[in-house]
Amino acid sequence: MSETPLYKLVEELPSSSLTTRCLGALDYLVPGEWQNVTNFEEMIKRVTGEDDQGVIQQVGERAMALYENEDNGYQRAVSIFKMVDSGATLAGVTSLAAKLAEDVSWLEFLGKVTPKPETSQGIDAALKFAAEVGTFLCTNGLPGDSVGDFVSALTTYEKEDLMRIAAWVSFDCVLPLGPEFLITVTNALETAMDKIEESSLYQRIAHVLPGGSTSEKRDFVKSTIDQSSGFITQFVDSKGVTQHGILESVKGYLEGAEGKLDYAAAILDVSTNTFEHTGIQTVARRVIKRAYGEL
Amino acid sequence: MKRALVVVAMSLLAFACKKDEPSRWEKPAASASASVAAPVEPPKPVVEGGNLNKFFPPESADGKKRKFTTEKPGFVEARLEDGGKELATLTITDTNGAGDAAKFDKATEKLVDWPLLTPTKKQTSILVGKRFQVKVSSDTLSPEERKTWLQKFDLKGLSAFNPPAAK
Repeated sequence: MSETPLYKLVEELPSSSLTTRCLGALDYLVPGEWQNVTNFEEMIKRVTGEDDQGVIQQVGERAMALYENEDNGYQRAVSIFKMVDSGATLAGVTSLAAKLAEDVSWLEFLGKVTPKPETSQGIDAALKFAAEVGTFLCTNGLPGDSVGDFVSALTTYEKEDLMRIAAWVSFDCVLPLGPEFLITVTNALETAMDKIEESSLYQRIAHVLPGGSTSEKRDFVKSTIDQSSGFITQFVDSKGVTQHGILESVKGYLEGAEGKLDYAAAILDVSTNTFEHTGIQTVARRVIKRAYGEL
Repeated sequence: MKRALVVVAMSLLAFACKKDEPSRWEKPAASASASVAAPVEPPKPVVEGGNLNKFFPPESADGKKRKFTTEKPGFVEARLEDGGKELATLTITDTNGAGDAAKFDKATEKLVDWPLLTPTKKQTSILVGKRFQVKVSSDTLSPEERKTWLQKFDLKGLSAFNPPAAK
């Protein structure tokens, strides 16, 4: 049984928040892909293209039943998406997010955030990406060479999935680490195991990563990054993702961040939940699509 | 001015009333959660999704690309692409899991020997071997074209398939 039924998960998403505004600001990278759908009926209509209310009701009911059955893996996917973003432990982060939403200059909060050292940032970026693989496997299955399946599916990512990747590339990689971020990430994963274990993100998601020991889990994370590096590089190059471009697009919310990219990234990290927000939309879309197929 | 205020007040009232109305999804959500907690019947064994892949149309039938997108116990979904664009969604559902093969009892049409339904205006499905629902959903294909695509599945093979259950 789930804590929150599927329809409520979707309908409790904010229609406007700092997260949605930052995602909206990335529309230039993936034009038109992401719409912030926060109404269950609307989601069903968009996924199925159906407008018959009888069909919509049947699909919705079936989707909720599929979601309720824990064995189907959809609840697990939602919990992983939430785990990734639940690191907002910074004191006063709620008020920070609220103030940022009011367009108050973030400079006054400088003292409250500490940018992560490059290695920690690299480790966390890689871990987030590995979590994406985990949620993909939970919602879509595809056993066998799972990472390989994921990589080939990446090329068909669209809508909220593609927006989540755009947000990850922008806010977790390029903004804090610069254009050579893949090298930083890869090097970070070569670091001592205790550095990885120190990461609060690792502590939250370690139990969902394949492998027993930290080094086995690290190898899985490394392998997902290695195998996806072609896609990631191509994404950055073809969309022209740059620090300057990202900063330009979110500067309305991070006024005065020029020259303090690591701080900008740290603030975005603690005050937004792009994985959870788009992740719930992803899971809802997948379950609705399946319910429609099973009808 | 007064009139405008009345309009605002009324629309606020309407909004407030609307808010209080229970969601159409509330009841089904409660019954979905109750049926998971206490299933009416013990679940029947369902097939491992990957075992159904071989019955789908070949990877490049008719110049179209077929990509598997979901492979779960009792359910496999593939996307049919034409020049990179989605043409249709192809699915096989093990009705043992969905528990609703009986819906085909009311089918008035058949495709070869298999009962055929048109659950929505964009979908055509058949029940193969009294167990597997094979379906084509598409925004663009006509009902006749959907039937043609249904016949590109290995329906004979699927009707004789007696799979081991998923773990």
